[in-house]
Amino acid sequence: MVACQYECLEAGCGATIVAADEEALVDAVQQHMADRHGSFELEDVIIDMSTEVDEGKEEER
Amino acid sequence: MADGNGTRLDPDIVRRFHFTRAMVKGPMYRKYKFAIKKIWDVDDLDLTQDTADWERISEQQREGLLGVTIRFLAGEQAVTDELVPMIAASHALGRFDWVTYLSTFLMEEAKHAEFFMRWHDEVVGVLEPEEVARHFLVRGETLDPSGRFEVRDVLHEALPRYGRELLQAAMDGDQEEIEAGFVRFSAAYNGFVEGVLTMPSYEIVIDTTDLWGAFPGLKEGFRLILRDEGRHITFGTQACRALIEKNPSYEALVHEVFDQYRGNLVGLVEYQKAVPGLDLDKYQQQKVRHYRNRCREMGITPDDELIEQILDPEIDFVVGVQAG
Repeated sequence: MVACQYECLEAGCGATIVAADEEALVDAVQQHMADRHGSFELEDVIIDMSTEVDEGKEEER
Repeated sequence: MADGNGTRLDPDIVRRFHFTRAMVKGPMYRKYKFAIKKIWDVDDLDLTQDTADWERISEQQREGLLGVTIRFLAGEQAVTDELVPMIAASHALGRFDWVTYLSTFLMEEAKHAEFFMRWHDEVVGVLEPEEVARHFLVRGETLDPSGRFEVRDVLHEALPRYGRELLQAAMDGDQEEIEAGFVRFSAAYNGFVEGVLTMPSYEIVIDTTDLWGAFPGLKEGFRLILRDEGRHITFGTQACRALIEKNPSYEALVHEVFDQYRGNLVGLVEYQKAVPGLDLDKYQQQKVRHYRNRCREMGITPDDELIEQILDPEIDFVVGVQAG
């Protein structure tokens, strides 16, 4: 299983969310959207724009 | 043409088959498979509580909510009715994977229209065109006090126009004209309408149901519709990305479409301001995210001026709504 990441493009944010796999990434991004922006993201948007993670990246920055 | 055993094959016969292993592993076919696995039925939604909630809310709340939901009722019918040119163009471009996915796309748009038809019929008691039209908020009443921006009707004006041009290109058969027409149509349909303009409207309705502690059926319908919309939007942006990678000059066509209807994006339009008590700034922030997301998916550079204008608090439309 390859870890993956997604960059939040909300104005003034730019956080990179990292998770162990695609399913965990969707959950983590939704949590980020709810907590930080009072919003949600579309699942396909997260999946399509996720990329494989670089070694040693933190959970969220 | 020969098969792996050296047997001669008639190319005309070979061309009758479209599936390839690469296509079946590709992103568009994956969207088709997701759509098939996640089919839902409008009739499975329970609207009993919504009907009770409708009885208890005030007349002002009713008119506010209807300002948004009636727009969705019209919009979902429009996008169902306007999708055919995209299917015809995908066929003309020889993209069987796009045609396959679009078969689910069209069914889902019809189902979304069905959801709003059923919700308005059972909960509000309106269905006939004459009954619902009186609640439709007129766009001409939305004005920019500075006079800089014009608010137009992208859904009922741009989509039919770009659709006619695309259909004509598909029939004429010029590959470059079809590709350019596809990018314009998809930029307007999937990028602008579905992907940026309407996204805050979904959130406005969901936030309203949370704020009022009401309408669980409407909220569940929106959740299911949004699951489908994610595939629709990213189908369009991925298709545009493929065409732009092939011919980078098509990027300018996306910006032209967004520029033509810039006025609709820089402020909240009439139906988006219909529900009182919501934090409207939040939806402008989100609109920027959706716009930047669409540009990222298409592989194009966002228009920074448009982003600044969306976030500019000085740009705020006056909405003098007159329903009907």
